[in-house]
Amino acid sequence: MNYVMRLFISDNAVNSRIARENLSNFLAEFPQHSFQIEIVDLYLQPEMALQNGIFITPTLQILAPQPGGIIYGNLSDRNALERILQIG
Amino acid sequence: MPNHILKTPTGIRGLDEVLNGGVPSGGLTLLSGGPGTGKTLFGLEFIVRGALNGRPGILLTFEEREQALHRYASMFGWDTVTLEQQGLLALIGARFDPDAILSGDFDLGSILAILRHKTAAMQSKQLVIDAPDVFLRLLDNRSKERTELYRLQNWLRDNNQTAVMTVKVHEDDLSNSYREFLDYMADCVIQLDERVNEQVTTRRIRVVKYRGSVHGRNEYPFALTNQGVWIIPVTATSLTHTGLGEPVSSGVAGLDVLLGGGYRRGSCTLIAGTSGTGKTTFAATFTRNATANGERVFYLNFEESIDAMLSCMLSPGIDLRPALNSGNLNFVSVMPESQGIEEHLIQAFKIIEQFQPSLIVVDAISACRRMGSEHAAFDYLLRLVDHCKGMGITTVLTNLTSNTRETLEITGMDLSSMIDTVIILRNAEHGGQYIRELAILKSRGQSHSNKVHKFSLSAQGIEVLGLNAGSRNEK
Repeated sequence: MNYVMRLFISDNAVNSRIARENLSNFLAEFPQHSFQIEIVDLYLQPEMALQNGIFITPTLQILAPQPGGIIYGNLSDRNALERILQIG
Repeated sequence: MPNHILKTPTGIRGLDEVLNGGVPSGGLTLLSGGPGTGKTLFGLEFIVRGALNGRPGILLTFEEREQALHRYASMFGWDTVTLEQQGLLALIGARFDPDAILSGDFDLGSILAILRHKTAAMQSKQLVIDAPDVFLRLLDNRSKERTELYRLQNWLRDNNQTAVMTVKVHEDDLSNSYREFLDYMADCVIQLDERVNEQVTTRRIRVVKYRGSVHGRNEYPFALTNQGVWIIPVTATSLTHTGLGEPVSSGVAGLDVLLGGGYRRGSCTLIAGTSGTGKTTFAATFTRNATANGERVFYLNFEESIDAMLSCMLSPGIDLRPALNSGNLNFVSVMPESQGIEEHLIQAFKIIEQFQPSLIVVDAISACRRMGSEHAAFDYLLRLVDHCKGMGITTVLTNLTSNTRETLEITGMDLSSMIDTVIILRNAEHGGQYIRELAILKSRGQSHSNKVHKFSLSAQGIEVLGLNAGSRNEK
């Protein structure tokens, strides 16, 4: 399966750092899938927050496969990732 | 603490008087109140008025969508879309995906990134954060809420933002410590309140705290009008009685003699009496005479419709139709219980603003007790008379009393501080027949007759009887 996702973070805020770690650790467990991840730092690209309606950081947006989905938070609850990606 | 803190005017009618200039510049103002008390409108008007005065501002709401806010603003005649295009205003609706899954902690980082970006791009210093509790509730943890609020406040301070934050208050809210925390953070705390008394809704505003500044400490009525928020403070006008103006004829020659020329311009005269003593006849005579002399009269009637009043006054020969036709008489008939006192006041203030009367008649103030709470009538009259005096408008009030002792009272409250002249009317029994009598109880700043005078009511109108040379010389 090919997954496309976007992780919105805010500079090096604690929750943003933890989210990046949690996401890469989780995805490393599934070498059979391919993951395209775009990391958007809203501190550097604030207009992306308004364009995409992102008012909470960190936010993980699943763009593919359909129907996609949204996770708010630092991804410390891996059940949420498993459910939304339907893997694990 | 500096003696003079900088303030930013809100432009909201009456609020800057209560705040003694405006909200603290570079400080945080908390606007708290229950649902439906008008918090969002206060915030929106603050940003719009600022923008119209060349001070760009941002409103960030967690409760509405941008489109809904623009539509809401257009109801008050504010073209927020154009202001936004001109870079003077930004409305941002922060919303959360209801289908999103929560996983671990999160924060306001994105909001702060947006605010930093927008405030820099617009060079704005005015900011409203509406309903942040919607975001804070997602955190579902008091200490995290506090951390995020601190972060927000620090950012506001570091960036010298004049900020207004709205906070919902629920009666059943157990979070007293949370409220205390918010109150402590803020430089200025304003409470909005809506209550229902005897089926009449009234809105009140109160400034609870203002760090480093004096402010009005009372509760003030306010209304949400089609021009925005309108707060009705009592100014110092009613307490500082400036010199009264030239006499304006009462329309009754004999009464003018007794009063030393007539009612004084800019003063407040009360005509009191029991039922059927002729109060309205005096008021109508005054109205007819003044309108014929080109004065504009605003006649506010709480008891009769225009048709009832017109036909009633024809029997003592007072025809008010020419006054109506000439446009000099603006007759408004309204039921006291139809709305709260703030709506009554604003209705009257709007008519005053548009019609620009030089004279006002309120007939009868005793009906004002039907406006709701026990204090409502007093509150209403104090503010109305205060407003009229402030504008130099001559006021004539009638008061229906059940006996002569309570002439100056309604609902047990003494109105004398705002009234300059009191005329009492009564029907006295002499030798088996009723005789109409009048007396001037008080007339501030002018000499007047203290005697009881007889008067007659006929098809020729009112005539004060027995005015001999002696009383005529009384000046």
